[in-house]
Amino acid sequence: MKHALFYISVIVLSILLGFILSRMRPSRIPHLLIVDTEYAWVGDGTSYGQVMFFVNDLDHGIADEDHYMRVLLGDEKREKIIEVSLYRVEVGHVENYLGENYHRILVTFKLPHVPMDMIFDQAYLHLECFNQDEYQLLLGRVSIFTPDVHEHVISWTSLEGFKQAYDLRSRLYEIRVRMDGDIPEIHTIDVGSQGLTSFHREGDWLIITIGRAPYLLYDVPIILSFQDGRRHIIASFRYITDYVILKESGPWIHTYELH
Amino acid sequence: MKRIVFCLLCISIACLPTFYVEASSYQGYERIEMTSGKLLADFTEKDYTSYYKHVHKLKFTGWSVYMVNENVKASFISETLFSYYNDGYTPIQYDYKLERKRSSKLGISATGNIGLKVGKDIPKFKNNLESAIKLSADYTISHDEKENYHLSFLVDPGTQVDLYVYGEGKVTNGVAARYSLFLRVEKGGFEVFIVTTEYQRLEKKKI
Repeated sequence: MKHALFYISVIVLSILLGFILSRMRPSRIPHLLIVDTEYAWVGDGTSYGQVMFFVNDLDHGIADEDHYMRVLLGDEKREKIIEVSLYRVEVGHVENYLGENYHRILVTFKLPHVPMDMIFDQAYLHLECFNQDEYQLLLGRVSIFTPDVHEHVISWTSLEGFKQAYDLRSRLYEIRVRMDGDIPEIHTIDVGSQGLTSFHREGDWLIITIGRAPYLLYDVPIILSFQDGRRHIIASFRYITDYVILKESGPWIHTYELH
Repeated sequence: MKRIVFCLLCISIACLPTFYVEASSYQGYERIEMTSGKLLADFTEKDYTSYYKHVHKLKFTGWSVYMVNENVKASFISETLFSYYNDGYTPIQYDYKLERKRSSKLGISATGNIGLKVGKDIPKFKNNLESAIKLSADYTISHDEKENYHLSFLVDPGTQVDLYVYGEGKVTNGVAARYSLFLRVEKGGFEVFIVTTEYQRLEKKKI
């Protein structure tokens, strides 16, 4: 009888201990990670812009486009802001960061026509949801170029871009454009980066070098300004697609707690 | 009699036919170059003989694994993603929606009688070889993942536009043997290839 009582007590205590431990385990807090990025697009009314962030909980409303009511791009105080038309919210690849799996969320929107270049040095994505939730996410730097001054000046036949050797971050260092025919003298080239942009010619190739800046940069248009005042825009192109973004971007990551 | 049946069973398991299995997109790449070591497809019989020595051991159950290359950097030239041509007489503003499945970032292959499960999206080894290899979290793939990307460019008359992909990745390969009741029931080579960075090149040419 004593033996039986001992075994029953052990079983009951074990179950109790298990229950207490399960109650003590902290519940997982949904997090959103966003990496400082330089985004650049041409706002012609038909083009698309795409921004990304990472979440560790796909069931959270921010990962579901049906929750989105309005999407705006602007500064923190909403003094300079534009509304964009949401096109799609997609779940992209998964990355492991500090022991947790994060899903890449891609928010694609249609850009309005902008009559002049707009630059947001500290750009925020303002998300307004149907359930009254509002999110204000620091994107990095956003440039939206006007298409109005575009003139067809050059003809290109090849576009490609690279990261700097041994740089594991998703940042463009060099863009190579192969040109066809005569090229007027180029005055400046802008790809929407804060980094110093320089260029030189090597035969048919135009080599654009983008200086360092603490942002990711992978999808840019090329704005060529010529000495005679004309401007030619090569539309946005995603030169790099990285699948290990978080692990390599440590100091550029902002963490938000989702509720 | 029982002993004879047992011996026959052992012999038949040991003589399981060796065949080659492959089920991944990365093997369709035009070229893959590793910074050091060899791809599984380039392992010779001599290599296998030497590597198998490390997995031929007395084991009650489970996998015995020998890693030949672990997370070795590799560069690759992939397939042409799309090709479009304008055989008309006026330039065309071409808008293209590129849809890519992210599971394509992971490729696996095996030789010998190591099996592969070719599911709808995610390639896997049979009998949970992944756990024995102890792949890092970078090799995690979730369910159905798709990413869309819009491209817009002008295509002149008599011009073809091609989008190529090339990039960098990591290769892990080796040999493994699975034991059940001290009997070797599976043996072969395995390889996992993961894409870390893709570069895209857009090219126009006269047709």
